[in-house]
Amino acid sequence: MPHSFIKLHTTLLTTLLLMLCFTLFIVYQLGTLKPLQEIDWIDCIGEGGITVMTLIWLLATLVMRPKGLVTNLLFFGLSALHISLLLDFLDEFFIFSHHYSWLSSLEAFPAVIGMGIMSVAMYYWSHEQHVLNHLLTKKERFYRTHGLHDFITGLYRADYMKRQIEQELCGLSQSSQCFCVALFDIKGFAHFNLQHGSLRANNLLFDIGQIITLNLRNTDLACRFASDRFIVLLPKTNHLEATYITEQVAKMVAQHTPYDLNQTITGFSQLHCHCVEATNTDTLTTLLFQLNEGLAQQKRALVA
Amino acid sequence: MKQYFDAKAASLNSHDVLLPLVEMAMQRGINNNKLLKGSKLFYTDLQSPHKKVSFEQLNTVINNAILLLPSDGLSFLLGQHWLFNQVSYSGQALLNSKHLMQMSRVIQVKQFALCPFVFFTPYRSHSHTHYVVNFAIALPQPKVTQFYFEMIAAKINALCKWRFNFTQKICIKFPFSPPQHLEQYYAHLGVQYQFDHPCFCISIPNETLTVPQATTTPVMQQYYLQQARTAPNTIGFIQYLCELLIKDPKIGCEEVAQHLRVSPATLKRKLKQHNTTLQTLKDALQKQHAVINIGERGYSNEQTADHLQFSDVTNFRRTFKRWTGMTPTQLRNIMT
Repeated sequence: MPHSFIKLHTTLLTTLLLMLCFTLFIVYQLGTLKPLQEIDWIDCIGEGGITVMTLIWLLATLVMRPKGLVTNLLFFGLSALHISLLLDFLDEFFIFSHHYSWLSSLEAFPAVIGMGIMSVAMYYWSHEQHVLNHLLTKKERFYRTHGLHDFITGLYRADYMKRQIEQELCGLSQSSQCFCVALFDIKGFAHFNLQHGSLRANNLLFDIGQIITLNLRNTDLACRFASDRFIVLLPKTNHLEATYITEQVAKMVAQHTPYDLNQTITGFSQLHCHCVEATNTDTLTTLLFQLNEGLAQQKRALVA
Repeated sequence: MKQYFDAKAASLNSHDVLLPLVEMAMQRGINNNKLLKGSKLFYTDLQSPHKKVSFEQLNTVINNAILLLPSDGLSFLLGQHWLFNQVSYSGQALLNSKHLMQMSRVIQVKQFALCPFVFFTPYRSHSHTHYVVNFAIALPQPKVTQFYFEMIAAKINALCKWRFNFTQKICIKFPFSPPQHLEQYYAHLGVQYQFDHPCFCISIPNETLTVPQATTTPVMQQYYLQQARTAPNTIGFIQYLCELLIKDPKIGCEEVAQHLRVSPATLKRKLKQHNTTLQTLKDALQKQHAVINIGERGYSNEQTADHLQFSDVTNFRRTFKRWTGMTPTQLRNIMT
C-alpha cells in the first residue's frame, strides 16, 4: 500500500518536498538562531504538534485518494496551511533582523490562502460524493456502514440486509406495508469454481452482483447473502410484482457471457430464484428459513 | 507407543490450511501482514515448499481471519478447497476407498497426513454410526473451534456431494448455538445439521457406510496406502493423552507423567498451555460416551451408569447435568 501511494502521487510528493526545503532554506538564510535560554519550550511543543498533525493529514489524504482535481486542491490547501504552521514553529528558534521582519508578519498568509483552496476542494468533493451516492443507490438504503461491505461483490453483506429486513418487519407490524425478499443462487457455481479457479469465480460473483443491481428498481436493495447467493429486498411490493421483477433479473443474468483471460467464453450463468412475501407473524429467522428452504426444495426438484 | 507433538511444535504443513487461508483473505482485500500478526510468520516464508507451522500459529492466524472477515464463510471454502486439492498418497488412498467405512479407516491410519487437528471415535447404534470428533493437539478458543468444525462439516458435505448421492441422510451435530452467520450454513451445507448438541458428532446411517464410492479404482487404494507408508505418523498431545485415558480410565496424573517421561509439575504446566486439565479430558471422554448411550443408543440411566462404572444412578444424573447442562431425560427429549 505505501509503495503504490508513493508511485501514484510522485509529482505531488516531490512538490511538497521542494516547498518544505525552500521554506527551511529561506528561514535559515534570513534568520539567526536564538540562544537556547530564550526558547519557550512549551510553546514549541504546542506549535510543533500542530505542524506535525497537518503533515500527517496531508500524507493521509494522499494515501486515501486517487489522482484528480479534488486531491490536488486538498493537497495544495493543506500544504499552504502546513507551511504557515511550520513558519510559526520555526519562529520559536530563529530571530529575524528588522530588514526581514516581513517574514514573521507574512507567516499567516499561506494559511488563509490554503483554507480558501480547501473550501473550494470541499465544494467539489461534495459534487464527487453526490456522484458516488448515485452509484450506490441500489446497494444501500438510508445509512452507510463500511464495516458490513463485501469486498468480492462490492455489495453489502447479509448482516446489512438483516438489519434492513428487521426495519421492514417493524414497518409491516406498525403500518402494514407489505414487502418481499428474494434469494438468488447461481446454478453450477461449484463446478465453475473448480473449472476456472477461485479468481475467475470471484469475478463472476462481482459481475452477477452488478447485473442484479442494474435490473432492480431504485427503491430495492441487493446484498450478497453467502457463497454464491444474493438476497434482494423489495419494499412496498406484493408477491406478484416481486416474482415478475426477480424473473426479469434471472433472465438478464442468463444472458450474461463471462469471458476468461484468453477472451474465450466460459459458459453461461443461470440463477435459481425464490421469493417470499413477509407476513405479520414472520420474524427475521423464520423469513430467512422460509427463503432458504424454498430454494433448497426447488433445487431438489430439479435434481429428481 | 506412538510419538506425539504439541501445540508449539512446527510440524504441520503450511500448504494444507494456512496458505490457502492467507490467499483467500488476500483475495478479499486483507493485508497479509495484518492476517499473520502475532504468529511470527511471514508471507514469503509460507510459500517455501517445506514450510512447517505449529497449531498455535495456525490458530492465531485463524483468529485474525475471523476478526478481519467476520461471517465471511472462509471456513467452508477452506474445507472444500482441501478436498479438491488432495495430492498426497494418503489423500489418493482416501479418494480411492471403496466406501465410507473404508474411508474412515484410512483417515484413522493416515491421520497425520489427512486430519492432524482432530481425531474421531466411532460409536455404533442400531440405525446409525456416530463419529464423535475431538481436538487432537490442543483445545482452541471457542470462535476458532467453531471455525474448525465448520471446515470439517464442509469437507464431509463436499465429499458426499462429489462421490455419493446420500448427502441429505447425513446429520452433523454442532456443539454451539446457531451462529450469527447462519446464512453460510444455508448456502454451503447440503447435509442436515443441528445446533446445541453436547458434542461435535457426525451421524451416518449404517446402510450408507458401505455404499460404493463413485468413480474410484479400489485396486489403487492399496498401492497408494503402501506408497504413503513412509509418511510420518505422529499424533497430537491431547490425542496421546486421550488414548492413555481410553486404555485405563482411572489413570492418575503421575502415571501419565511417567508415560510422557516428564515430572507431574511439567505435565500440569503443559496441560495448561494446551488449554485443558487431565480431569477435563477424562470428563469429556466419559461425557461423550454417556451422551451417545442415552441420546443415540437408547440406554437407560442405570445401564449407562453401570457402563461408566458409577456407584449409583443419582450420582450419575448429577454428573451428567454438570457435564452437559441438562438431565438425561432432557437430552432424550431433544433427540426425539
